[in-house]
This record gives sequence, structure tokens and C-alpha cells, in this order.
Amino acid sequence: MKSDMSTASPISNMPAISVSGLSHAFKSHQALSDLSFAVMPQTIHGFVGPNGAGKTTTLKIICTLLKQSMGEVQVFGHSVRTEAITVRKMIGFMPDHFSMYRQMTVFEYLDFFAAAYGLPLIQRDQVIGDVLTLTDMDGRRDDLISGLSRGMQQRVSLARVLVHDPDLLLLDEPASGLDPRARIELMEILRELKRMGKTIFISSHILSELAELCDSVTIIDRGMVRFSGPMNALLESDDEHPGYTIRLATPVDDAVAQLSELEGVSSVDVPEHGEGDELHIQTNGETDTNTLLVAIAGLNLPLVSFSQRRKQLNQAFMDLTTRGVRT
Amino acid sequence: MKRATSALFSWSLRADAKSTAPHVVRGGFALFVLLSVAMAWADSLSAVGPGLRFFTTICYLNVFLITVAGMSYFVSAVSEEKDAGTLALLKLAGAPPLGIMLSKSTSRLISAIMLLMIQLPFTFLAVTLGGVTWDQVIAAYLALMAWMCLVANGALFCSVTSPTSGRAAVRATGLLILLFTLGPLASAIVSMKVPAWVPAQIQQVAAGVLSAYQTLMIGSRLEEILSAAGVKTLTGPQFWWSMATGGALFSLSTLLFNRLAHKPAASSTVTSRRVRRFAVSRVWKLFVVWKDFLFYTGGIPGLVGRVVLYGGVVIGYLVFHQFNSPRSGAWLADHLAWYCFLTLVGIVTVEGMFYASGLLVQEAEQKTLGPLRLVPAETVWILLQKLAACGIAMTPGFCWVGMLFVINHRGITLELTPTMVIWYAFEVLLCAHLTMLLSLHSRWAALPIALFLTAASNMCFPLIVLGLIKAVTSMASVNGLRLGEITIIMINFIWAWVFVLLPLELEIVKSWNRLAEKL
Repeated sequence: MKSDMSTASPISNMPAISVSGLSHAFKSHQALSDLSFAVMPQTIHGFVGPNGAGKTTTLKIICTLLKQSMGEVQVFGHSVRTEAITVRKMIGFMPDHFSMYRQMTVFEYLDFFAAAYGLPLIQRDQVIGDVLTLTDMDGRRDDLISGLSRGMQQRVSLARVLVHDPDLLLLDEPASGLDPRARIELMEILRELKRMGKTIFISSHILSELAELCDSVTIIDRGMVRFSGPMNALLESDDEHPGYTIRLATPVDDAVAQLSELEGVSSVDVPEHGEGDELHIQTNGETDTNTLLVAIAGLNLPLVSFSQRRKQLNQAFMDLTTRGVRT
Repeated sequence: MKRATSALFSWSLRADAKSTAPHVVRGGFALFVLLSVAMAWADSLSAVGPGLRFFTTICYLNVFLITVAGMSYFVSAVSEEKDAGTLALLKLAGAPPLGIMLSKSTSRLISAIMLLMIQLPFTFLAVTLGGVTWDQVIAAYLALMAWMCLVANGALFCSVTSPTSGRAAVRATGLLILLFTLGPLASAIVSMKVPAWVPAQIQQVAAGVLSAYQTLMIGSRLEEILSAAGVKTLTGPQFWWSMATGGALFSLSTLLFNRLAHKPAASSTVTSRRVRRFAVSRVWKLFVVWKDFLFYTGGIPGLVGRVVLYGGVVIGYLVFHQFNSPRSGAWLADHLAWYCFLTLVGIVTVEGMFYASGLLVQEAEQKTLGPLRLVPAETVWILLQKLAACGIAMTPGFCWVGMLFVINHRGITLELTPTMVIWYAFEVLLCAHLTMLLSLHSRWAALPIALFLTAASNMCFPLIVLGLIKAVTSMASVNGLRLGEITIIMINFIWAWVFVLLPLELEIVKSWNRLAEKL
């Protein structure tokens, strides 16, 4: 990989992806309706939605494979409609299905795409070596692609999108069909790529991993944006004032009573399906997190953990999307 | 077994009824028959026996359509399930090989028989118009049904034994070409003045093949039925032979089904690293040329193979001439040089057509169209590179044609006129364009349909070209210019390219991009 990969991009002040008023129809079927969102550079942005929500259509439009019916899509300020060739040099798109020349070896396959993106011969060896190291495939460079397992082919596919050192990676379900170890390793690679200054736009159904990985998220359903913004904003509780969860090492009989008497606490509940000695504390806005923690510590309870209560991404997803398959 | 077979059969019939293409073919055929009736009516005003002429046209059109269906429609009966990866699911659902074969091929046969059924009212008209009897009509339809049975089961055999529809279509086309060329080839050998050193048995075998061909082939049988002598029997040897061979092919396909139906496509990739390093170099700057030359046209081993093949043809003719006329003092006699030229051009054309039929669609089959479309290069540039790869692969053919010119150019130029060259080049280009375009819409039927359309266009183009030549000559003479023959032909070739080939090229680019959007 190029040595300047880890340095900040000169185009970091403009959105990596800017989608505004995007609509697209396949004959009479309206796939996307007035989609608008932005992805900031050097972030990992999740793109979530039920089956048939329009994720792949959006990805295809962003990567210039499909021309939109209406609206504007820009990649680092370049229109995907009018500057397709420029955009293609800046992106690496990894589709959800395997699309590989199976009769080539791993090295030949990467060499082919490196040449396709105009890398000179003397630079190709170095770049291919780097991407193979990054994807942990350097031991398989002479293997035929047809002989690789699904997880390995997934890695080669990821290596392929990296050979021309794109600023933006578009990944459609990159972890589908991978075993847990391969999934964890893939997430590690994506984190490493973010550290190297890449912007990653990832569509996935594995919400728990996205919640950990992504800085921001867009949720679409039935071709419309239901939420787009920082992951924290999505996962914040719907309550007006913050709530907290504490766990105790051993049960304490009057713990609920003691906590209820603290200043700024409006209620204390024992959750129905909580783990161990878990308690939910709801505040009334008259205290902040730090003050509350000091006060709880002052009670000398056998405190194990203290955290602000947040929604799970699964829950947010279910709240924002509609039941049933789109017709 | 009964339930699975019946479910699969009714599903196949429903799928056929829902798809547009068979209805379009039937509609087109009905229109053609209607036009033939009108022509027969016009004939009846001046000629004798217009019904016979009309019925003869219908019969030969049927032979053509059944043959084309053998290369396209019948050939995908089982292989389409392999392409979709659903053959194993059918077996899991409890459908036995015989059930799968019966349901998949019978539904297609019924669909094809419907094509014969729509002709019935018109054949009544043929009898009324005169010149043909009921016996002739019945005998002709029995002969056609037997031919359909042979072709459909031959195609089914190819479908079962091939890993993909594309390969099945290639095999079926090869078999049908062999079937149609065997007779003329045997006839040529029989009538040839064979040199003394050739064993006499070869001519005896050829005579036997010719005799069998004349008895068993549909063309000879139809000639016999429609001749003035009339029909001696409703079912001749052709009927029984075709039905028996069709039945035998069906049984053989059923027996081989389990052994061959799941056999994966054999990989032609060399796995030895040393061999691979020699055969596959580093990617060229023209990356698509590199890819398609090495992984589509066979690369260096394929190139060497073709050098040997084309060289073998030329050397074969040279050796034949030297044995036949050792004291002639020439490398190759004039007439042999012409035959050798025709053979080489024929093989080069077949090679080119097979490249054209799979060049674009292979990307869709491998699902690599998306990533290839995403590289920062215009579609036109990628497609031109694909053509260049085929051009490199065809170099041995062109080189050996050039070599033949060096050996004996007189024998070739005596027969070859510039008009022939331009006409043939245009027809081949038209067929290749149509094949590439159609391959993006119909994977296996592209080549047969393109051949049909090119043959049909051949009926119209000479008139247009003659008209254009007249127009160009007149315009030139009005402006005081005298144009040479080659100049006129070149001008018309450019016109033909602008009005026929260029629109096809633009459509190919559009279809390619549309296909990429779906992946």
C-alpha cells in the first residue's frame, strides 16, 4: 500500500458521500424515495435496513453501477452521474455475492485489478504484497481462487477493493456467511483501515457488530431514510432524563430504598429480565453522571458496574422499521 | 415418482406458457405461413400446383425451425437446471432421473408440437389449392415429427452430458452440423478422382454413408414425399430410424443421468506453478486483452494448438498435392489452393463465431460484470479490448491464410473477387454483432438465432446493396467522377457499417451496461 495511506486525506472537510433527494424506480416499483444523508470522511458508517429496503440499490448508485432517476449523489464532491470515472478511482466496492475470476490465482486476480486501475508494473508487487498482508492472505497468493473457502474468497474480495488504495470503501454485507472468527477478524481489518484514513460505508444485518464498529449509521426502510446520524444519538434512551444501570456483587436488601433517597433520583427498579443483581436508576435531571456516581459510591454498596442506559441497535432498528416484507 | 414428475411437468408447461419468446416465435411463424398463403394464391393465377409449392415451403421451414430448436430450445431442458443450481433440489424433492427427463423434455416437445398444430388449417388450404394430396401431407408431418424426436432427444443427450447450457448448445450444434455435412462430404469423396495410393475401401465406406444418408435424412425423405411420384408409404425408413435413434438417445440419457448430470465443469487451468508461470505472464497494460486471451480463448497453449490445427490443414493439402502430382513442380495446384483457402476461412469463421457467442456473456455467467464495469475505463474501451483478445487468438488462422497466399496466390485470386470479400466480411461481421448482442439476452440461443437472422438478411441486403451501388454510380457520374469497383464497394461497406453495424454496436454497449446494473 502507498505510504501516504495513513495520513489524513486532503479532502477531509467535505462529506465522503453526500446523498440528497435520491429517488430511483425500477419500472413501476419505487425503490428509493427522496433519500438524503451524508457520510463524513475517515469514519465507519453503517447502512441498515430490512430486506428489500433499498440498500443495494443505493450502494449501486453510489458506486456508479446504476444511474439514479432523481436526486444528486456525490463522492468527495464529485457527481456519480457526470464524473463516474473519477468516482470509480476513489471507491472500492465489495458486493454481497462473490464475483471473481475463479480460474485465476489470488496474485493474478489482484494483479489484474491493479493493472485495471492503472498501477505501474513496478508498484504492483509492493501493493499486492501489502494488501495480502493486511488481509492475512500472503500465504495463499499462488492458490487458485476456485480452491479457496468462502471466508478466504471474502478476504481476496476485500484485498481486491484495496489494491488501488481508494479513499472510500463500499461494503455490501461483507460478513455474510463468515464464521465467528472470520467475522471478528474482518471487523479488526475494517478498524485498521479506518485508522489508515479510509472511509467505510458498510451495509450489514449483523447489528451488534455494527453498533460496536460504526461511528454513524443510516437506517432505511421501504426506500426512505428513518434515521441518519451518529451511532450515539441513535442509541440514546428515549427518556427525557438519563437512566443508569448498576450491578452489585451480592444482593443488598435495602439497596433500592438507599438509592431512591439519593438526590436527583426519581425511581429505582429491579428489571424483570436483568442479569444478576441489576438495578435501573431513573434520574429527574437534577444531577449529572459524575455526581450520581460519587453519591452511589458513598453508600458503600458492593458495586460491580455502573453505566448509562442505552438502547440496543436491535431495538432501535425494530422501533424505526416496519414489520413485514415490502411488496 | 408420479407426483414429482407430474408437478415438474405442469410447472414446466406453465413456465413455457408464461414466457414470451415461444409465443413470439409461434406468432412469427403464423405470419410467415399467412404470407406464404398469399404468395401461393398469387402463384395459382399463373403456375400449376400452387398448393404443392406452398406446402414444400412450409415443410422446409419446419425442418429449419426444428433444427434451430435443437441447438437452442431443446438443448437447455436439463442443463438450465444445472445453470441455476437447482438439479440437486429436484432430486431431493424425490424426482427420479426418468421423471426429470420426461417432464422437462416432454413439455418442450408439446410446445414444439404446438408449432406444427397451428399449421393445420393452412395445410387444408394447400390441399384445396391443388398439387398436394392428403397422403403427402400426412407422410410429411410424420417425417417432421420423427425428425423432431431425433433432434429433441439428441439435444437432451447433450443437455444431460454437458455441465452448462453453453457447452450443451456447442455440442448439439456440432452434432447437427456433422449430421448435415456428412452426406455432402460422402458425396464429394465418392465423386472424387482418388489417387492410387488412397485405399479403395475409403470410397466404399463413403458410398455406404451416402446411401444411408439419402435413406434416413429428413431432406431426402421430404424430396421423396413431395416428388411427382407421390407417397408409397406413410412411414418410410427415415421415420423408423429417427424414432428408434431418438428413443435410444433418450434411454442412454436416462442411464447416464446419475453419472453425468452432477459432473462439474472440468477446469482447464494449469496447476503446476512452473507451467503456469510460462503460460500466464504478468498482466498487460491492456488488462482485458490479457484476461480474455489467457482465460477465455485458451492462452498460449490454445494458440499453439491452433497453429498446429491450421498448419495441419495447409500441410495436409500440400502433402496431398505432392502425392497426387509429384512432378507438377508447384507447391500446390490452383484448385487445391482455392479449396484450402475455403477450408481455412471456414474454420476461422467458426472460431470467430464461437468467441462471439461467449465473449460478453461469460462475464455475466461468472458474475464478474459488476467489478469489471467499476474499473475506471469506458465500456467501449473494455469491449474493444475483448475483441482484441479474440483477434490475437485468431492470429494463427490469419497467418496461415497469409502463408497460403505466399504459397499460391494465383489459385485463390482466380476465384476470389473484391465483391465476394466485402460481402463475406460484412455477413460475418453482421453475424458476429448479432451473436454478441443476442448473447446478452439469451445465453444459449444467440448463435443459432444470429445465423438465422444473418441468413434472412442475406435475402434483403443484395437488393439494397445493388440499389446503393446504382445510386453511388449515378451521383458520381452526375458530378463527373468515374469510380472504380473497389471504391464503390468500400463506400457501400461504410454505409452498411453506419446504418447496420454501428446501431448494433451501440445496442451492445447499452445492453452490457444494463446487464451490469442487475449484478
